[in-house]
Amino acid sequence: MISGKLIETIFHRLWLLAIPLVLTPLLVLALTARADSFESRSTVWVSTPIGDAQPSVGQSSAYLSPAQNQVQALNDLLSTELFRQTVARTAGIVSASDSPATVAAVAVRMSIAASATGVNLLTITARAVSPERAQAVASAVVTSYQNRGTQEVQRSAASSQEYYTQQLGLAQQTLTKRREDLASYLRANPKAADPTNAASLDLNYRAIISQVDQQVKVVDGLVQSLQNVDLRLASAPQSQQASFAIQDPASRPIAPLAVSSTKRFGLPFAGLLFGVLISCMYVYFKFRTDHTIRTSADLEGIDVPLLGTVPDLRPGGTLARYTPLGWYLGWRQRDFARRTAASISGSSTANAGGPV
Amino acid sequence: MATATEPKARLDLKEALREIHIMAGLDNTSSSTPQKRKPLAIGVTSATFGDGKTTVAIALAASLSEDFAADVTLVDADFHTHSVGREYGLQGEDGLSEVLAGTRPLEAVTHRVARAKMSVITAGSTPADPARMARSQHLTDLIENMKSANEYVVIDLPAGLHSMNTPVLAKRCDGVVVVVRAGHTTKQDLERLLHLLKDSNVLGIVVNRQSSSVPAWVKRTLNIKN
Repeated sequence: MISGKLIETIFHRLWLLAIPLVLTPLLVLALTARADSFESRSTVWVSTPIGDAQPSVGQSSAYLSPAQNQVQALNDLLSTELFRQTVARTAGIVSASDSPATVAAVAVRMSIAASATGVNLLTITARAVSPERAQAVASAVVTSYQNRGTQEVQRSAASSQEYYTQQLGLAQQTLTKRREDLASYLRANPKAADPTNAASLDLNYRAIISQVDQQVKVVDGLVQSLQNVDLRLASAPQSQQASFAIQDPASRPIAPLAVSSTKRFGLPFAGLLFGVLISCMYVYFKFRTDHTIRTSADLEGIDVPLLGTVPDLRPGGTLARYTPLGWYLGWRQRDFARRTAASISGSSTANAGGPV
Repeated sequence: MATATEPKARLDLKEALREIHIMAGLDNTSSSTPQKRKPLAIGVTSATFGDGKTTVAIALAASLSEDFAADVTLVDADFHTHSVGREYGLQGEDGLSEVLAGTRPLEAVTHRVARAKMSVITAGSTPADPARMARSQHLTDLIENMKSANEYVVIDLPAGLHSMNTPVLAKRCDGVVVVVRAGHTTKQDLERLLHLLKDSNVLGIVVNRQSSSVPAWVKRTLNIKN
């Protein structure tokens, strides 16, 4: 048996219960509404640089594929504000006249993601409010990353070049000194220069010869290293492009991203359910806390008979009852019920001051 | 008599009061041998202010006067609100308190309602000691005096939970009608009031200002009682 009071509670505030049912889905729609979003993708072929175990940017793990190593390095860079600002400037979505705060805000809002789609394939995805901007951002990410890699290689190679040049100078000085020592020894012992002579087997002479040979090898090794560094320095842009080659340039999206059915229908429906829950909780709360007498059923347990019920007398018709007009009339004519009661006798006036 | 042009609110009220007449045993027209019945003093009270006891008292007195063509006196014994006098344009007039104080005779404070067999006695000025006045033998005599001149004496009593004179005054009445306001009076308040009126003859309860927002078809479908 359904409680009449519960039904009365529901219908008494029906319009109030309808508010969450309408407002909550609308609120969800408003909060989840997004402008059209366009997505551009660029695919990059990634390989480990030849003759160098490490990629140009970041550290590599032997347990990860080249693409995974590069994705880690790229995502690390994308988490920095400076790299994002570089991307924004490269993409041309901020101008030189923009304030640093504007540039930073634009850079933070850019939606960019990098993921490994194969052992050597890396996909860069950029989303923006227009197809042109999405494409520009995706391209800018590749370009900025390549530039960053080139700069890293050049910086590293320049540092090595300086080191090897310095070491080579010292090694050549040592070699010159040892050659001078050898020449001095031969001037003092000319017979040692003849390999058939026993003087050529002198231990001091053999030690000087060995030192010169070793220093020659050191110098040769340094020269070789310096040549490698020079080669690396000179070929840095090319090698970076080779190890991070654009396979598919950033595409220009022709249509905005499709909104998922979950977002389009599921979230408003969840909002509706939440609104229903709020309404139900409100009804239950009002029902449980309402200890007033509303119907004859509420008088059960009281050992006094119900004589009757007097209807709520209000001015205006049924239409005015549930409209602001009804509330206004009720406020204006607060004594309406009492005047109606007095009018039953035909008059609401008495002969004031006079006896019967 | 109700006419076709009579406002719906008044018709509804009169129908509700006729039910109260029957349920409270005030209707003697069904008797096969009509005879003049014993005059009755009916008190009307409620738990708190604003429940509509004065409205019900006025309506009850007026309907008894009209339906049974009986002499009815409506007495305002609520010295807190003086509502009856205000409704009939008798503000500031002497009334019950002056009669009980012995400064005015009953006839001098009884006002006849125009075009009706109904009289009104206002509360008068607020007495200094209403409790003593309520317990006085003078009040009992006064009520008997009014009953001798009328078939019904309807007394608008103070709100029961706001004045402890109510149980005393209620005992002076032949029956008491308790008014509860739908959606306002709590069951606890009603039970407390009825406990205070345990020595009085409570005729029954009238639910005032009842309204329902539930459509009739819903009530029929769910078998919900009013």
